[in-house]
Amino acid sequence: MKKTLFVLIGVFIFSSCEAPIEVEVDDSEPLLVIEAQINWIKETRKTEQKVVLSISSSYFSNTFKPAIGAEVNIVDGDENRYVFSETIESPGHYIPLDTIPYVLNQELHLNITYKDQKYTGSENLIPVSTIDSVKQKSVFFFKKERTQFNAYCMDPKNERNFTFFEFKGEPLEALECKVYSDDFSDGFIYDGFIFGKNIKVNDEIRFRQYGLSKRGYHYWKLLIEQNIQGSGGGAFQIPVNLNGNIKNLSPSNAYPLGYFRASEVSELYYLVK
Amino acid sequence: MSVNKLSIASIKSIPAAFGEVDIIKSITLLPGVSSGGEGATGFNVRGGAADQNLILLDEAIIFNSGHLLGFFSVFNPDAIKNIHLYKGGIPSKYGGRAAAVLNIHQKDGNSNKFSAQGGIGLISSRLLIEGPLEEQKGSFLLSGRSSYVHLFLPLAGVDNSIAYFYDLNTKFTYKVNENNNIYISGYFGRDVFDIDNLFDVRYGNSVANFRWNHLFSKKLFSNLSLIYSNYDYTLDFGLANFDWNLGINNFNLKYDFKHYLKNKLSLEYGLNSIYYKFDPGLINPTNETSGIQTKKLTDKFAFENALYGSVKFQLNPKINVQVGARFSSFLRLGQEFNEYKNDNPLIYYSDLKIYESAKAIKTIDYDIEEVIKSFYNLEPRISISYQLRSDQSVKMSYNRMVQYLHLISNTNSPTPIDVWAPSGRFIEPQLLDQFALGYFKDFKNSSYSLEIEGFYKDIQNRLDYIDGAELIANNAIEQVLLNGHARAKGIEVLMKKSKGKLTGWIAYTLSKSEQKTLGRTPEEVGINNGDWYLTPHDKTHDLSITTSYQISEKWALNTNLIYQTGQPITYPNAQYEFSGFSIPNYASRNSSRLPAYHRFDISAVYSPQKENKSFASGQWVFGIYNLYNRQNAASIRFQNNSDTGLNEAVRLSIFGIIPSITYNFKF
Repeated sequence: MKKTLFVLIGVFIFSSCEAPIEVEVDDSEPLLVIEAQINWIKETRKTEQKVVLSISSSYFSNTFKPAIGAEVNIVDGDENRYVFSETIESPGHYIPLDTIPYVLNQELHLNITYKDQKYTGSENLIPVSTIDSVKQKSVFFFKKERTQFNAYCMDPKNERNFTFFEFKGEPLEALECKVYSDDFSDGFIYDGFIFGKNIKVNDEIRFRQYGLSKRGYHYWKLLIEQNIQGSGGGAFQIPVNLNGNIKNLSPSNAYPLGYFRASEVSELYYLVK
Repeated sequence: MSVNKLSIASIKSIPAAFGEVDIIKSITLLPGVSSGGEGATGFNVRGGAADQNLILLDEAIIFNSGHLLGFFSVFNPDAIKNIHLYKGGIPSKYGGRAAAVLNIHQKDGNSNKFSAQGGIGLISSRLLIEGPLEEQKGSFLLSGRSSYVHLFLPLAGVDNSIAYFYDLNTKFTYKVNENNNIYISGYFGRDVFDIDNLFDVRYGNSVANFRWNHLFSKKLFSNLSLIYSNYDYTLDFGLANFDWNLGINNFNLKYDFKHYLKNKLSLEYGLNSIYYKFDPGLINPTNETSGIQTKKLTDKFAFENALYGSVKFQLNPKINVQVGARFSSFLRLGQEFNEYKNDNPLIYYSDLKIYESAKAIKTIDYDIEEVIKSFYNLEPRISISYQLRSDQSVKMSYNRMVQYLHLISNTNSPTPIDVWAPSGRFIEPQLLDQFALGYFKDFKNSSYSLEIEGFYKDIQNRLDYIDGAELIANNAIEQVLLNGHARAKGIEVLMKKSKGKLTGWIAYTLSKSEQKTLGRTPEEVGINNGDWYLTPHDKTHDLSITTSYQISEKWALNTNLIYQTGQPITYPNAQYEFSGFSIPNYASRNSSRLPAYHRFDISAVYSPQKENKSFASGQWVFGIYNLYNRQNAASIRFQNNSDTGLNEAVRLSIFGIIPSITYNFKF
C-alpha cells in the first residue's frame, strides 16, 4: 500500500497517464475455486454457512462457471459430520442440511469431492472482538469532502489477534475490506476505517469484523493488496498467487484456489448522522 | 577493460528529460548498463540488481541515488568532475557489492580565482561558487540545487501537496606543503513529499569525507580517508496517525597506498574498515486517537573490514597483468536475536505448498561487543591484456566480489523506503564470480574505437522472498527470506567516435539475467517452483545511439535513440470469483514482458560567444525528450473495471513528449 502511494506521487508530479491496453494472456488449466465460509455473528447469534464452488476461467472472459455436483461436508472436532447440499436456485452453492453449532475455537474439517478429486482443509472458528462504536467525521482530500467512518474495538492483551473488516452499504462505491493484526496495538483500542462520498443522513453502513487465523490474515492481506495494486513493473510488488488452506488429496498438481474461513463475526449497522 | 569513463562535459551534452542533466541516466546509455525504467531508482549493470552497485561520491557510500523517486539523480552535475564505472575486472581496492562500482568525484574548487556558474531549468535551478583560499594554497566549492516543480502542482489540479528536492555539495582543498594535501568534501540532499497531509515522506543522504593525501616519496603515495555517510527517512501517515523514522549510518576508514617500484611494475594496497548502524526505525503514534503504540524495531550493528593488495606488471612487451586480492570480513555484532526451533525461522507446509514464518521460541539479548556471526572471504581479482598490434588488444578478467548488505525489496525496482539488512545468522553474503573477455580496436588515429566484451557471472545467496512476504517494519526479516542463486551472461558492443564535428557512440547489449530459488529440502518448492526466472532487470536487447554534432561555434545538436526489450513482468493466466472479488491467478514469475521501450531525444545548445570584455557567458539548451511521444509502459496493471465489471490491462506511462529549456551561466 505504501508503495502504491509512491506510484501515486509519481503520477501527481509528472505528466504520467494510465490507459487500458490490449495484451495477450495465456490460459491455464481450469482449477477448482472453493469459497467456504462459516460465520457466527456474535450480536445476533445468526449464522451464515455456505460453500461456493466454481471453476477458474480465462482472465479476460466474463463467465462464472459453477462447479456442480460436488460432495461437500464439514466434520467438527467431535466427529460430527455436516453434509452440504447444492441449492437449486444457485448452482455451485452448497449449504448444510444441519447448522454447524457456535463453538469458538472448534476445529472444522472441510471435505469436498469433485470430479474424482478429493479436497480438504481445516480451520478453527476464530473469535473476534466486538465493534464497540463507530465515529464519523468529515475529512478533505485535495479540497474534496469525504466522510471517514472509524469502527473501534479493543484488542485482547497478550495474544496474537488477526481480523478482517468488511464495510458494506449504499454510501460506499463497492464492498471494501481491510485486515488488522495487533503487531503495534496489542491490548489497546484499534480501529478499521473507511471513507464515503456523497453520503446522506440515515444512509446505512454495515460494519463487520471477522476473526482470522494467522494464515487467514496473510491470505486476505495479500488478496486485498493485490486487488488494489494489480501487478506490473516499476514500484509494484511482483504479484504472486494466493495459496489458501485447502489441499488436493488426490495425486495431482491441480491445487485448489480459495479459502475455508470459519469466523466469529461482530456486526454493527450504523446510520449516518 | 569493463571500465567506462564519462567526463561531465559529455554527460552534459546528452539530451535529458526536462533538460535535467542526469549522471545516472547517462550511464545507462553505456553497454551493459540499463535502468529499471523512467521513475525507477538506480541502474542495473550486467543483469545485476540496483542494490548490487557500489555508488561512491568522494569515497562515501550513497545508499539511494534518486531524487523524486528516481526520476532524477542525486548528483548535481555542476559539482561533479568525472565518473568511473567498473562493470568487471574490478580493482581489489573496491568491494562490498556484487555487480559494479560507480565512482563519482566532486570537482575541486578553482584555486586561482573566484567564479560562479549555474543554471535555470524547468524542474530545478543550480548555483555553484568556487574560489581560492589563503593565497592559492587552497580552494573551496559550494554548490546548491533546488527543485520547484511543486509550485506547478496546483496548476495540475493537485492542491495542498508538495514534492521537492534540494541538495548541497561542498569541497575544500588545502595544500599543506609539497607532500601533503587535505581535502574535505560533503553532500547533503533531501526529498520532501506531502500529499494533502495524508502521507508525508522525507528522505536523503548526508555524507562527509576528510582525506589526507601524502607523498612519502616520488614513488609512494598514500590517501587516508575518514568518511561518514547516512541515509535516513521519515514517513508520516496522517491517515493512520503514526510516523516512522529510520536510517542507516556508517563510519568508514580507508588507507590506500600506491607504490611505483620500477618501470611497468606498481603496487596498490590498503585497508578499509566500515562500522554500520542499521536503525530499522521507531514507530510513533502522532496523536491520541492513533491505534498504533510506540514500537522500536531492533537496531543492528556490523563491522566490515578488508585488506587488499594488487600488483600491476608487464609480463612481456605484449602482456600486461594486474593481479590482486581482497580479504574481507564481516562481523555481525550483538543485539536482540530470535531463537527458533531447529534454528528454522521459516516453516514449509508441503501439503498446502506454502511457507509461513515460524514462531520464535525465545529472544536473547547479546551485548553489542559480542560478535554473533562472522564471515571471512578471499576475493581474487585478475586482469590480463594482450596487445595484438599497436591498435588492437584482447583482454580478460576474473573477479570475485562479496556483498554483505542486502536491500530488502520485493518490488520490480527499489523504492526510497526499502531497508538494508546486514548478513548474519540467517542471511548469507552474496558471492559474485564474474568472467569477462574483450576485444578492443582503434581506427583512424583513434578517431574511432570498437570494444566488444562478453561476460558471465554467477551470484550465490541472492535473497528471495516468500509469497506475500511483509517487508515493511518487519523485525524478524529472516522469517520471510530464502537464499537463491542468480546468473547473467551477455555480449556488449561499443562503437565510439571521439574526434571531429560529429562525436558519439553506439552501444548494444545482448544479455540474459535470471535467478532461481530452490527449496531447502526436496519437499520444498522454493520460489516459482524452484525454476529459473528472469530478473526484473533482464533486457534481451539494449541499444543506445548517442550523438553530438557541432554545427558551428555557437550551435551544437545532440541526439539520443534508445531501444530496449520490455521489462519482464508477471501476467495472469486465469481469473476466479472469490468473496465478491475478481482475483487473477498468475502464470510463472516474470514470464511475460512489458512492450518494448524506445524513444528519441534531441537537444540544441546555443552558446553565444563571450564578448571580449564581457564578464559572464551564457548558454541556452533547448530539448525535446521523447520526440515522437512514445507512450512507454512503466507498468501494466491488471484490474477489474468497476464500471464494466470486466477485467482489463492498464498501462501506466510516465513521460510522453517533453520540451524543455534551460539557461546555464558562468562568470
